[in-house]
Amino acid sequence: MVRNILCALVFAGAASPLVAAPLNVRVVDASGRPVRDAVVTLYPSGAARAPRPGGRYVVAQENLQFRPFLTVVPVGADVSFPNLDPTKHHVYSFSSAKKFELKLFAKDQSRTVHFDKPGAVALGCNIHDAMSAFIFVTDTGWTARTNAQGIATFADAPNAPGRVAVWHPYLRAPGGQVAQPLAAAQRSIGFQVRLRPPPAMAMTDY
Amino acid sequence: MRPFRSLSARLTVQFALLFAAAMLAVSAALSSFIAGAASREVQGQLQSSGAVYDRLWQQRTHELQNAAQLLARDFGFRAAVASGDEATIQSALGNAAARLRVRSAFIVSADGRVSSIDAAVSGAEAAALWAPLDDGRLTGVTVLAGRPRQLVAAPIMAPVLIGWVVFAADLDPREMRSLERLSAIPLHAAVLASAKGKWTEASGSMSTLDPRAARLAQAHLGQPAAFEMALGGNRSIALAKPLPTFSSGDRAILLLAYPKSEAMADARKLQLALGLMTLLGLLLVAVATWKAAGRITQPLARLDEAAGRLASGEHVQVRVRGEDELARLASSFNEMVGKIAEREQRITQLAFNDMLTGLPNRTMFQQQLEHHFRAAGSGSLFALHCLDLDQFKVINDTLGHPAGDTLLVEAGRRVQDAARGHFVARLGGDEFVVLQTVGDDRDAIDRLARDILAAITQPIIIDGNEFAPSTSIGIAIAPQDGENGGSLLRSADLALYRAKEAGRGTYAFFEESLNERAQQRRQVEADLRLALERDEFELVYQPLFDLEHNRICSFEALLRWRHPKRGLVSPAEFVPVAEDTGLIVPLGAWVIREACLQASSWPDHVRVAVNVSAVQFHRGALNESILRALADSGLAPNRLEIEITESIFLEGGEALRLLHGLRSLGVRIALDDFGTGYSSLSYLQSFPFDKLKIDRSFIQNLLTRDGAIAIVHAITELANTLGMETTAEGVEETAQLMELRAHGCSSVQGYLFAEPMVAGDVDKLFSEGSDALQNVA
Repeated sequence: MVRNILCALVFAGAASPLVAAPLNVRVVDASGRPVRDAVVTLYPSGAARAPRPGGRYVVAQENLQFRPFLTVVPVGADVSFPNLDPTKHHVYSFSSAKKFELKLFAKDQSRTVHFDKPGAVALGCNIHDAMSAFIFVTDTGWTARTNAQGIATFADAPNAPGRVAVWHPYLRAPGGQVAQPLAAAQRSIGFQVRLRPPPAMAMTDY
Repeated sequence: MRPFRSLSARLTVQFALLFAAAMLAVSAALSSFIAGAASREVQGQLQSSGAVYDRLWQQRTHELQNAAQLLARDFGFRAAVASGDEATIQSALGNAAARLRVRSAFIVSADGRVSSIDAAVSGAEAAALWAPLDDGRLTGVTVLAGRPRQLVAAPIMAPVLIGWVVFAADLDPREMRSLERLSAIPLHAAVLASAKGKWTEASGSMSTLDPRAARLAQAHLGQPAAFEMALGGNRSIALAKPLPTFSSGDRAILLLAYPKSEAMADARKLQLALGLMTLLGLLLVAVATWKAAGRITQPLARLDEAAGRLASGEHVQVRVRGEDELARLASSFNEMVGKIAEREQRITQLAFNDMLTGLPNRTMFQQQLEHHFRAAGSGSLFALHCLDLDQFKVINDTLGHPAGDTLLVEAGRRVQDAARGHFVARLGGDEFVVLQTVGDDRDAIDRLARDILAAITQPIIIDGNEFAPSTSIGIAIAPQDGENGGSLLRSADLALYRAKEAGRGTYAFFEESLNERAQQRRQVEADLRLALERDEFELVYQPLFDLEHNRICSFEALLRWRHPKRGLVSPAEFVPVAEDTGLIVPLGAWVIREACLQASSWPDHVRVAVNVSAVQFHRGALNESILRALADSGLAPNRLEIEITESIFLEGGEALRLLHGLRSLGVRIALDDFGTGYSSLSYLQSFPFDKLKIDRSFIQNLLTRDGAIAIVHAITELANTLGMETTAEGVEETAQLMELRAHGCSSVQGYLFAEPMVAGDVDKLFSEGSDALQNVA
């Protein structure tokens, strides 16, 4: 119902359907508070656009934490995992998008992992349970993170129907992801999601 | 309250009730305290058992949780779960379950898939756990495969949550029994669990699965206080503790129950003992009260009985024990009985004894007499002696009553001494009686009479004067002289009269003739009363001849009674009767009046002489009747001559004053029958008689007996000297007249001159002249 209301709001402020216009996606939690750092992906039908490859992606281990907490990378990206801590780390992922294990590498050692499938990858350290980080491997050019207002904007979203998905590390849904179809003229879409409380050992700063 | 007839019963019941109420109250309070204590004890036990179970639960949860967490963190296991390596998962779960002795263990993945090692738990049942798991529930009771189970889960983080490892420990009878064993009291433990409204249970030694029990348990859930419920047909004290459930709609209860009969067994024993003690106490109280009441009421009952016997005349004494109020009451009672006896004795003494002499009185004598008559029925004889003191009246009057009393007391004592062994009584006045029981020896009667006479006649000194008292005794012998007391006493009285007649100081037996005389006398008495009214009396006059002037100087008026049937009756017969009955007073008055009337028609020198009885002196208004007679007739007082005998001096000083009074009026006084009786010369000294009449006995023997003339001479000489006239009575012969004249006798009287004559003849005599008489002289 809330979603319908949001839809109504979005429709009220809708621009012309025929020209490409920015698409706003707003994500709130169960109590209506904006959800930050949710990854929103847009899949317009018949207008796929691969993400821009390249770039250097680093998820460092520093002060027994992964840094950054969330990294969005395109499919095919290589991500290096430098250990800046004096202790060893054992970085692993059991996520289907990318299963890997960087067994006990010491300080100033860096390993690189190639992410060749889209999907969310949960990173952990087998030695330090409290260490947690996510890498979202996206296969679409329309990928954005919600800001502090819970809003992600696609300025160049094609004026076409499609599907909008929202992923968040603590989202309570299979795969941590929910999706909605998007109408052709729809320039705004809202998501209300249920979040699991972050694990006690997880850091709250991203 | 119903009235009790016995004080002891009432006391017993009242005290027993009081004690019973107190003891029942105490024992009820104690009993309730015991029950309460037992109940609290059980409740405490139940609570501590509950607390024990809590700890066990926590321990178990902890153990399972540790194991689950350990497993969930195992890198290989996480890898297996994340990669869906079913074989590895199954073996790891099986290994952990075996180590924990848990039958069911499974994985619920974050997206709801289930991997289980227990075929009994269906995939759907396990999948249903996803929601609570996803809500963060990690422990709690749930129902799996129809049995309550304790679930413990641990999240599998890889590093995000990919699922949960879940251990389901059976809550089975074995575990409940081990909990029951842990308790100090033999309680029943059970876990009730409901899923989707259907209750299941895991119980130890007793099944509690029963909708009502479950509802009741649910109603008391979490309350710290125990409650009562029916379990397997027995009342039990139960405590229900909530157990955490896994699914929010489910319910799980730990029910700890303790059969009330067992819980209260000790209390019941105590209560029973208390009850027995109460009963015993009641019994003791009843017995003790009964005894105590008996101690109070027994003396009361004895007093009651004694009072009853006292009322029926018995002189009872009750035993006095102790010194309490009852003892005092008893001694007061005894004292009272004693005083009553004393008073009765005194009353009896007053009633049956003479106050003066202390001898039995008339009442007692009559009883004694009746008693003798009853005793005499067997043929034995007894004699009744009636005593009458001679001259008692003289002593009483001359010396006064105290002297008379002294005489009576002394006489009584003497009679008692003389008649020792016989019944002596004083009937009143100077009358005494002696009842003598007589055997064969009839002479004993005479002997006793003589002894009494002898005893009485001993001289006695009263107020310095010596007396020689004497008594007369009349004796009647029963049963011949009287068939009953009254007749015997009359017979004895008649005999007494005879004794007196025979001369005082003697005794006489009753004879039948006495009885006849007495009857005659009674007849005379009756006739006398009528005679005055019927005018049957008349006076005859016997002249007295003056030897100096040779003429009739006086007539002595003599009373005649002309009885309509008997003719003339002798004065000797009726005068004593008239004196005894008091008839002499009116009769005497009539005589004086009649005589005065007659004399008033006679020549002036002729006097009339009237005999006056001693009785008239002390009973009649003699002076008054004389004055009236003189006034009525107009006769000069000096023509009336009153003849008295010595006996009037026995009447005392009053008679003497009367005589002086008469004499001062001018009436002449003559002393009759002088020379007989006491003839005390002191009388002559004490009163100036006008005349002495020499008794006829001296005149009759004047010529035949030696010394008679000398006595007559002496009398006339004495009279002359004292200035008194003399008259000789009963002069029948001329020779006597000669002697009398020779010795200076003033006048004579007798048949020689004239017989007594009627008034008409006297008048005739005066009208014809008195030649005939003069001739004689």
